[in-house]
Amino acid sequence: MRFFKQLPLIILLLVVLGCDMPYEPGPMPEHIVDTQYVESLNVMGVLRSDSVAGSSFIYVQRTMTTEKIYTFEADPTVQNATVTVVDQNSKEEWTFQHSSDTLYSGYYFDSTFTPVYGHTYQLTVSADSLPTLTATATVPQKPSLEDYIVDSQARRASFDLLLRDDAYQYSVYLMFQDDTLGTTLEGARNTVETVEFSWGNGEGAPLSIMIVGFEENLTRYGNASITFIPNTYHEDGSTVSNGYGCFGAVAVTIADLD
Amino acid sequence: MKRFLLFFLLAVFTLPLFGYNVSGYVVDAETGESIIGVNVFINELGIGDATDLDGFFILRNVQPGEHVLTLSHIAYEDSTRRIHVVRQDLFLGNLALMPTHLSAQTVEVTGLKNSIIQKEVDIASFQVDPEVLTEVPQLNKDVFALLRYSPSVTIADPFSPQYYVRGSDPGENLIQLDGMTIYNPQHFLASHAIFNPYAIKNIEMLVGGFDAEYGGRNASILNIATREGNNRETHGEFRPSISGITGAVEFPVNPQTTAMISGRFLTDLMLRVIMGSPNVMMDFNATLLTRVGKTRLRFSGFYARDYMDYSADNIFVFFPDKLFEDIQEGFITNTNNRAYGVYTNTLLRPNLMLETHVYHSRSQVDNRTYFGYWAKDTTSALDIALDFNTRIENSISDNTVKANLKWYAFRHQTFKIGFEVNRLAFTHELGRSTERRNPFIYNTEFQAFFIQDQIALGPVLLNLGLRNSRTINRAKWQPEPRISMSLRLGNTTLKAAYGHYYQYLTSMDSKNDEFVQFLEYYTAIDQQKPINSVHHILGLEGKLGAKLDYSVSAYYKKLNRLYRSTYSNNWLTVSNGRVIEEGEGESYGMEVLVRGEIRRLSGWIGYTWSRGLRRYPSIMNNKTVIFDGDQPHNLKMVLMYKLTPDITASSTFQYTSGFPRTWETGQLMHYQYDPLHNSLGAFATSITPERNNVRYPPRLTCDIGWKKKLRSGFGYYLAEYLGGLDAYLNMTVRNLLFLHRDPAYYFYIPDYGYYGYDFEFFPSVSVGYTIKF
Repeated sequence: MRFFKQLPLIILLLVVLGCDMPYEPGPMPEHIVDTQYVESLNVMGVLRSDSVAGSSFIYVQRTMTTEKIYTFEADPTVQNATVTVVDQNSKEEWTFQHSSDTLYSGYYFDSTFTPVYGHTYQLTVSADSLPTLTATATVPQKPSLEDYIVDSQARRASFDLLLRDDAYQYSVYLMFQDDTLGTTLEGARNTVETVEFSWGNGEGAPLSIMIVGFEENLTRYGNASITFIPNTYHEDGSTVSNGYGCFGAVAVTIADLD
Repeated sequence: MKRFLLFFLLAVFTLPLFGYNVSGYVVDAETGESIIGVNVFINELGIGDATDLDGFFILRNVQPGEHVLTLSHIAYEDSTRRIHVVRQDLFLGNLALMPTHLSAQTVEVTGLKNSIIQKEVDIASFQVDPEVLTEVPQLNKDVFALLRYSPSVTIADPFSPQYYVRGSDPGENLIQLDGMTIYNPQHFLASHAIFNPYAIKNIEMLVGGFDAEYGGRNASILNIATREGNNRETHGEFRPSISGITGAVEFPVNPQTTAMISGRFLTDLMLRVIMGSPNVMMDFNATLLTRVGKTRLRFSGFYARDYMDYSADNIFVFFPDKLFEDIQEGFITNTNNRAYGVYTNTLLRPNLMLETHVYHSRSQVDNRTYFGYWAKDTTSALDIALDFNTRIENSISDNTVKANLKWYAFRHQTFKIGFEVNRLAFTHELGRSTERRNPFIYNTEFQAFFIQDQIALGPVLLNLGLRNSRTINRAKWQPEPRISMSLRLGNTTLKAAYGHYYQYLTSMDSKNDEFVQFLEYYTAIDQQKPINSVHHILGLEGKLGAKLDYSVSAYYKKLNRLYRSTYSNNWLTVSNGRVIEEGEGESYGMEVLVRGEIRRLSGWIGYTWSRGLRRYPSIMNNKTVIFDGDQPHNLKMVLMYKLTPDITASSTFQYTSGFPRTWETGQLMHYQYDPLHNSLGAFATSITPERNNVRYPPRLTCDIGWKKKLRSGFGYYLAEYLGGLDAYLNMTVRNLLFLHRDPAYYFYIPDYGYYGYDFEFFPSVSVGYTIKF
């Protein structure tokens, strides 16, 4: 009983004494597998098959150390890379040039390049002493709008789309004068799917519909795990070799609505 | 296999038939509830048994004549009665024992009460009297918090309720409530088990080498049995708090029928009021037990629900307008679990028992998480953008029928044959988007039958079993031989076990996409070969004193086939099959456990040395990596000290190796493509080329608590006012001496370095009342 009476006092004393101890998270972890940071290229290349020549681009950055990226001091964009795209079907080659517009630092374009539906392209990017990055992508077939009904009075519309098996994801946009409605569909089904939109007052009548088919690389990368949780392993979703990022393609159809 | 069957048949048919069987049930004289672990023996014949979960015992090979039957249990008064065995088996019906009512003793024996269960051939189990949950306040009355003090259990993320048993994955643990599988047994956000401690009668976890009767999971079987009710009068216990109420009540329905109803209804007021996030956690249990002749019929029902709608918008209102207008963050989660079942236990003959169980269990999860920001960078054509949306709707529905027949056959033989059929329906709607896609709906059926023979040959007890299992979509039966044996040498028992295990479902890994893996998302794997592991176990048990036991066991588990299942990247996989990757691994270790009483001190101390490894083709090209729950050294203690007849002081202590995590080697930008504007957004993410390449610092937790029976004061008068019988004050001091070291993550902060993120930075004290009536 005497011990019990003294116990709260002892506990209190220990806690107060403990306050003097600094809270330290402990020693930094000991590496079990010694992994060194290897600086590499990190690209985002999109071959866009639409009616506008030169709309495809390759964006090139380099990876950085954890410490460096948070300082916001270093610019990760790469402006002196050699970027080539080769049509595997026709063997034609294009060299993309770095944009002269400072707003587009790190972007590489070729104003003559228009990707062909169904063709496969190989990307090669080299810069400085970084490993040369390679990747391939196949442009999907042009999205097909099979049929549609627009009821402006009821403020709704439905569209029958052919979801081809070479496009793994479709984005559909219904465009108005000042606004756009969008939705996303899972592709690769080779079926006709109906997409419905409805809208409120004030939108007016829809002017056009834009259908974008994504090939596999872009779909996979775009839906990849994007962990911002620290200290957690994750696959980065890269679809390129000897580096990071994605090289993919989209096929675009824009149809005016009567 | 042929040799195994030959040995099995020889064992069955070559042993002689002598003596008769004496059987019965042991119940509490005051409540009528069956008592587990009563030693029933005839001293002059050297024959004994211990009662099982239903209070049933059977003494084998009793010679005809007059004998004195002794019933002994540490929390009950010893009882003897004279029996007369003529030339037939004898069934004694219900034998009642009087509780000792020594308050000074009831807690002292807590650490030992259930360890006296003589599960002779059970080589690897962890049994705890649920009284520990209420006697040690720092366990928060949580079954999972208690399990973390088992030497066989490791955890990775301290905020997650998931646990690893002897190097296996969390999805390999079977959790059953009254024999019904519960698929999502934790409360969302709280990491607490959904089992009300006041409703629990017994907690038992088999951690390997289990009998052929058990299957469907390869690592562990956690059996939680609920109370049966009181056949004399209404009794109960409840604990009011500012966050809700917890309680249980048991009462007689008629002389043969008892019932128990329990529930918890909790809400986090801080979140609700200050952050405007509605949230609720609730669970309810109901049990009705009736005895009709030699049949015990039990109806069990269970329902648990969690709901939370959290939005950072409710915090942003405290900041200037437009400061956070381009940021959105929050989640909405709805989960519910339900299980209903009917269990029967019929003594067809004094040596023949039939058990049947029919139940339905269903778990549903609907979780939407979002975190995004958008900032227009006017200096370049690359906007800073993050659009993190996950929508997970996952459900599993299980209709199960199982039955077994136990035959106390010959002098040395106990046969058990049985079957189990699980009809399962899965629904997955998973992915990185809020858009509704095609739910993956899948039905299957798991089937299993088993035969088991327990043979007693003097000091040797041999358990031979064969379980066959399959899924209906893969017609091939998978044989799962199980062998275990024990050799009693005085006070020491040597044990060994070997077994094959197959599993046909797994849970998906959401660790990449949720801060804490709160929930299990189940998926069937019957399009692939089943998960397979082989257990090898050696053990030694004995006594260090009159009330002090020790056990040492070593194990090696060959994890021949594992699956790594992720719901990331499954825009493609919903249509093309789930991302399920086959891998393999192994785990091995040694555990030492000392438990019991020394004068006024009771509890247990355990130490474990273990390793666990994994190999998956997509993770570093099949390179061997340590697995997420690998913690080579574990020292764990739960100690209770009876200061006075009314006061119990307790201490929980853990010092373990840190868990492995993946250390980032660098950073890069992950891009988002906007096809409408043909533009890019990007955000920084980590480069993690190696998995589990670092180990966190050692983990240390040290909490103390005490429970005092009140004789005066506010709590006592409150109990008196409410008509209660007793009132208790519970007090807990956490993070004693700032010794807590258990960070979940390390964040990088510029100009500071890495910062450990932990919930318990400062010591905390909590106090509450418990009222019994």
